[in-house]
Amino acid sequence: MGRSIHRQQSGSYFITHHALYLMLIPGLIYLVIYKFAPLLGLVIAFKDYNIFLGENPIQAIFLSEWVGLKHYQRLFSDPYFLKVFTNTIIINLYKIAFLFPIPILFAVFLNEARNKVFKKLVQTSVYIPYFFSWVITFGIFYSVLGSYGIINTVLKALDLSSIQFFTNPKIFRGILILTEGWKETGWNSIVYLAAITAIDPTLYEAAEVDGAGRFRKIRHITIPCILPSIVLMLIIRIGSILSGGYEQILVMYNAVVYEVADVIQTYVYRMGLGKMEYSLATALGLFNSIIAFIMITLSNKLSKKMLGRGIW
Amino acid sequence: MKNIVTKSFLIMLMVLFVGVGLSAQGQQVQPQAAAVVEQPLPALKVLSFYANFDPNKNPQKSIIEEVTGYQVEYFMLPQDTEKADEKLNITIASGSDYDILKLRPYQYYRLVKQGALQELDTVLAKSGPTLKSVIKPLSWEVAKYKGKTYAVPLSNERPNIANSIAIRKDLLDKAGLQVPKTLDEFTAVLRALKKFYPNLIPMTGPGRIDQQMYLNSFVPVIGGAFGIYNEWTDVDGELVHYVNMPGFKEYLAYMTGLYKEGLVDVDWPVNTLASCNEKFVSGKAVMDPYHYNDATANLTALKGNFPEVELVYINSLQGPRGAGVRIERKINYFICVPKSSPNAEHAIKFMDKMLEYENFEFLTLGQEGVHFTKQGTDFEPIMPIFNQERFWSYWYLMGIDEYKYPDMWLARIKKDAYQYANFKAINGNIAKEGHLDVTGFAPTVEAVANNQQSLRKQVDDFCIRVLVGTESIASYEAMAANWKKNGGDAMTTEMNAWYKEFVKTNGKITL
Amino acid sequence: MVSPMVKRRIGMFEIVNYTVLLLFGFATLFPFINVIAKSMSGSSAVSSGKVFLLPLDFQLETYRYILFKSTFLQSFMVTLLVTVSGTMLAMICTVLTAYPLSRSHFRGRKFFTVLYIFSMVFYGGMVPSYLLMKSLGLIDKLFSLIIALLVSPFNMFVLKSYFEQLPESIEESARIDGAGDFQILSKIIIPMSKPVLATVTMFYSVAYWNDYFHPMLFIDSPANKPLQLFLYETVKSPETIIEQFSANNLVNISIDGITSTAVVCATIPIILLYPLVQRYLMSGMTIGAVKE
Repeated sequence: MGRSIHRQQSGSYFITHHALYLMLIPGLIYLVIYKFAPLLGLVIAFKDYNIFLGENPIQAIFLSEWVGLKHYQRLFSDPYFLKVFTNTIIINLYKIAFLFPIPILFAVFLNEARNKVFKKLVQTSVYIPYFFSWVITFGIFYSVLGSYGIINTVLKALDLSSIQFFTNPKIFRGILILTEGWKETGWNSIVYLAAITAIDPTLYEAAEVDGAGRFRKIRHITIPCILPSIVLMLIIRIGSILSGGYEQILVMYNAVVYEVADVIQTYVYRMGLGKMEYSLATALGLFNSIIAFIMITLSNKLSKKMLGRGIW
Repeated sequence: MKNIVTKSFLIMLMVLFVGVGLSAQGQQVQPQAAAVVEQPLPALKVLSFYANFDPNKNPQKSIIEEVTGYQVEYFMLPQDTEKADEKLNITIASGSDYDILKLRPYQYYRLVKQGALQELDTVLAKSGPTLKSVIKPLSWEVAKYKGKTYAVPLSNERPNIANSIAIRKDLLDKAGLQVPKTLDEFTAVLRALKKFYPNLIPMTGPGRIDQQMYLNSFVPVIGGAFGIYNEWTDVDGELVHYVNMPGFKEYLAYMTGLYKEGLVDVDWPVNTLASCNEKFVSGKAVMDPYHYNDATANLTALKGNFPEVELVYINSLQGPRGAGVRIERKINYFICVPKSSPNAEHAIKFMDKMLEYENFEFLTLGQEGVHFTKQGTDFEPIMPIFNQERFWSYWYLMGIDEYKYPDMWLARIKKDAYQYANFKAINGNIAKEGHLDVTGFAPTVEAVANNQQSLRKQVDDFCIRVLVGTESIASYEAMAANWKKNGGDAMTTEMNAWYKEFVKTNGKITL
Repeated sequence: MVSPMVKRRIGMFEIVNYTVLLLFGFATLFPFINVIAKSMSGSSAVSSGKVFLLPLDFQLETYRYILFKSTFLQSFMVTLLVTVSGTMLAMICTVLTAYPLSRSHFRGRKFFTVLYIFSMVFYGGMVPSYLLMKSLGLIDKLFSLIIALLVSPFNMFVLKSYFEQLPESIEESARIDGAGDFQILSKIIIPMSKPVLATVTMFYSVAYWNDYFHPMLFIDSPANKPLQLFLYETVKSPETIIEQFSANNLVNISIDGITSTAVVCATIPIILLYPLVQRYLMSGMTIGAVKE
């Protein structure tokens, strides 16, 4: 087979495939200048950064005092930190458990619908909420789920007791999941819809000849064929286990549901209100990044072991 | 092979070209600015707060340029407070090319403390005679940092009351109820309303608006009944924060009682300003804590829904510890020059020109007989031309004539009939119902700058949790202790140090 | 293309499937219709929450305000320029990166891939990014918005994972015919990847269109503000708009009406992109076609 062309001496490999390396250049220039150079700024996580020291903010980085792990000590020694840390993990695990499979199922079942016009309309409408900001989304759900919203009006008409969706700690996490599912399912399914298009139709035809039913085709052809996309999305999602959903929660929560909805970033946001704590924010960001990197590496390893494939 | 190399170079070139092309596109302003430098007067760059328009495309800009002789280019900070502060810091710290900054007080104090601003005493003495004469000495005093002036202070137009509770008088009448004058009457009215209109919310209220000045969940008029009018109160010469006022816990207990009885909106913790207004305008709520600015939009819509609607505003309920609401007299903005600007003198000349009375009147109100009429100190706007041509003038202000503007400003309120009616109704009895904020001229001392916002959020959250019943009011003492420990004590100490010094030199601040 | 499958009888599965999809479609579509209805309704109806799916007390003053009295149009042009040029540039860079990294034989593949993962996860912070742009002289320049999103690791991985799935045999035979890597990419890989290219193009367009963070940081002049800043600020600070109602003789409009109109005007153009992309998502036959 053609494999042989790749089993060359190093030198001749690079000559044959120099074009591949050329291709990487624009991206790498971008990566080094725009993404990696600013990473030097992460040292302020270990300093008390005052942006006004020296002539400019770069000098200020050097001039600011080293404080070692002070900011981490402050974060981790806070008795409330464990609470928000657990909340963060729980909310994100719920979201992964409930919201990760839905776009996949949606893509698969939409693919099963034969009527093209129907498919297009459903697909387009499901993707629209992605373009609403969380503020708008909250407004929409408030008019449905608020104490004087549609659902409670109906309950009242039926003489049932009303439900405080936004102030009941038992329900609130469910609201977070529901609203995110509503907003992002359509958008997240696009990757899978694109992957489904890559499936060789002859596979289905062959299966049909073998007398396979719909669900067997889904299980044995569709799902395995889009598995690479699923793995990719899952690994990336797991990486954001500490940072997912911050903006949503900030818009939707209130003091009454802090015990179930307060996450690391909302807590740090509230504590740092008006304080301009670049160092603390950077320290937290770095912590999240490291956890994310570890999670991604681990899940990639795991995926390679179990499914024989990963991102790298 | 050549083909490939050429192709890759082509791609790289394309990347470069598009990049350079686009950045050049943004640079078009540059040569123009350079050309201006050769003229005797430099073009001035002004950074100011956010507003929903493009100040460089508004006719007001060319009027200002004509009057002052300076070319001006305007820039804005982001709308979001947090983002605006971050951006201001980064921009100024990395050496901006702005000549004039129009800053909120706490932004000013932050920058002046860092040494990012120019001292203006010399240039003011030389080129700011008008500024010196039309701005009151007290305001200049507040603009000083360590004895030197770093900014031109812009005080609020006129001390006024902004808060009240709006009540649907038509609904009160139908239920045979009187407008309450005391807190007990108020409670009785709420109860009666609930009985008479079982499907309506007696009073709605917001728990989550982005309000800079106060607790979000706080109703100023009810607070007044418990002797809390301002964030800080002078108790025998000592400033006390509202958290430590004896009436605060009672206020909370009272509100919690209302909530338990179902006399206020169940959705209080979730309500935004918009959802409150919606409930009021749609007739679902009988009362709404109100700011006179809400009038224009709300009243129009309300009349559309209920032509027979009649509103009354209360801003005083006699309670166990007092009655009334706050009056603000304060500096709204500080106009200053960053260290990096070479044009401090021109900046002052520019501001001075804008404040020469003829110019000032023309810039803020327009031409007499065309945009407004004047009878003594009574200014009336001529509509609609006033609105068309002077609507945005307030955004461009570089200081006000503190002696004449309070009267002139009423013309600006009058441009909207509803708003003026409201303003009059709320401020009709200002001397009796108002309580002046004695800290209106306080500099943002360090402890306040660092702690105020996060502490306010903590107290606000506590109030909401108590209101709903998630937290017992018995934990008030623990909360207050926590507040002190987390910066409240530091704030109190620093504010008192300032206050005593201030009173010693300037006397107590009065209307 | 009428296959026997189409004529199959409608079973239980079809009924359930269509119903569930339809309900979901309605749940997402209704709020949008509601926003449109609000944008065209009179002030009393909107601010008292009476509007559902049809406009009440129909008016278009809100559109007159947003389109002609506000800075919408100039922001729209800025966003259009950034989105179109940004997407083109980003697609070029991303395809060029994803292709080598998708080749199993590519030496250094793991190293470069991990670099991108790294860049996806770590962020230096606002201050360093601002300083970088400042030292490049790009503050207040639209190009700063374009490079801010140039190579999205996520999009790159989506492309890479798709390229990896393509049968290598086609590439091998092309190579035997003497084709170089550039030719293989442009003549074979790209034509076979239309669905995913369309998808990623859309991802980029939407990312540029929706970018709020970078303009907030890098743009100072009101004239260079893109649409998302306009939208965000309109939604967040309605009080500065109310003030303008009387100034512009707008009597029958409400804040909610204005924000709804802003949302409609700012999202419809980008939503319309999707049906174009759908062409590629619906076909599902691209590979078969190339193979023949």
